Amino acid sequence: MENTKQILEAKNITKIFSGTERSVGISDISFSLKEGEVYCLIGPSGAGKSTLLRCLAGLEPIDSGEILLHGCILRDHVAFVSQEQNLWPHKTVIENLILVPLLLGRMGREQAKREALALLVRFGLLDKRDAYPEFLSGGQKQRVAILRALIMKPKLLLLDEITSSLDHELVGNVRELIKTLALEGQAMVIATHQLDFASEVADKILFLDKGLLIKEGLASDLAKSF
Amino acid sequence: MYEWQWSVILQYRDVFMQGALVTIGLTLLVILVGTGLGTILGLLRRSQLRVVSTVVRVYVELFRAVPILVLLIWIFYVLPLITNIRLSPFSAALVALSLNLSAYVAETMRAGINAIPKIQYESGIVLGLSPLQVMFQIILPQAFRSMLPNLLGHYITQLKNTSLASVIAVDELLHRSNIVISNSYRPLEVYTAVAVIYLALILPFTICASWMETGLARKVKQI
Repeated sequence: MENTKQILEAKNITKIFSGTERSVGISDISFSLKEGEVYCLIGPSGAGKSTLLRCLAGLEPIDSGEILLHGCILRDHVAFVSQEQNLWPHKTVIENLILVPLLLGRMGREQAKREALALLVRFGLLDKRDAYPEFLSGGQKQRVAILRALIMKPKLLLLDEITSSLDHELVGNVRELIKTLALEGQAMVIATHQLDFASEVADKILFLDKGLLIKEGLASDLAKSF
Repeated sequence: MYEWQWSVILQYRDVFMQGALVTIGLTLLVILVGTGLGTILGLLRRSQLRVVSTVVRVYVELFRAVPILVLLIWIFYVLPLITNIRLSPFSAALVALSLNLSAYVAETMRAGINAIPKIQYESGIVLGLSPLQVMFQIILPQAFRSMLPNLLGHYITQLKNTSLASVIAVDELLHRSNIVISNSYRPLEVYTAVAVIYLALILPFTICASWMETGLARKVKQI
């Protein structure tokens, strides 16, 4: 990892929500991520994990600080998968996968289909290729959502508590998929509640609470201290 | 005791048929123009530019509030006096009914789009799609599903509203029927026949709408 390039640098980023009440989403958070690294964001509900990921994905404008991407462009190389079921319900699984590369002109229809089928084969979802999302289980939906992001070959994948809405027995396959991606060197920032999972896949864990980064360190070291 | 003479209906069947065809033609054109205009207005209603969304809102409220008969008469009789634009009765009816329908379509469109969860929009944006691509490829196809029963309801209403065009002498079903009445002096038979013809025209729309309401409700729940 020493010679790998830094791809993400967050410098003192702060996000304040100004609705009926002003509330701090995240405050003064700084960290950086290199190619192939996996960071997990851990913390209780309302700690700011999702807000941080949404800021990194460009879905929330930050109020101060800087987010720098090195060697990658936000919409081209950074993909975000949320905790909510976000597959497009009027498209089949394979249509969900190929729509974006086709519309962006990144691939022709045949190539997009080939790549989509390869991903579906690899992650055991080939038999669902023509199914509409309503006929998939929660775990399958989340795996397809991740594959939809992967077909764009992102340099950085942001995953926001993608197993939190799933039943316990459905979580396994999603976690396996993430572990496989981590082993293959896919750079990821993952928000999760599950410390055991974080310590398995992450290079580094960032603990957040009330919008503040309260602790960060190597997964192996931090997991022992909790 | 009134003596029904149904033979008058058979005698003037071609007149009824021609009137029904004009009614169908006018309805289809109103649906086409009103839906197209309403879709554009519905999208503009969501504009970030306050002035645009306000103008559309005023348009929607205005054309929903003004009775169609008043609008029809105003466009046919008053518009030529102030603009020198004189429309044929058919064109005036098409404009008035389309303006009315577009206001309802715009509102339906706004509600339909708002019903789609924000995450559907965001999931396209984060993958690199432009807002327009997201709108036309992801949001509108889903929104149309939930809007279709509502739209069909508006279309049925417009079919019935075409009868108002008889006041400016558009040769649609009711106007032709009035001519038949003045020739035959059999208003009860003629109005009964007109009611049956309107029912026959509307029934396919109604069946289609109720089928969609039940058939699509299940799918919409998934959105």
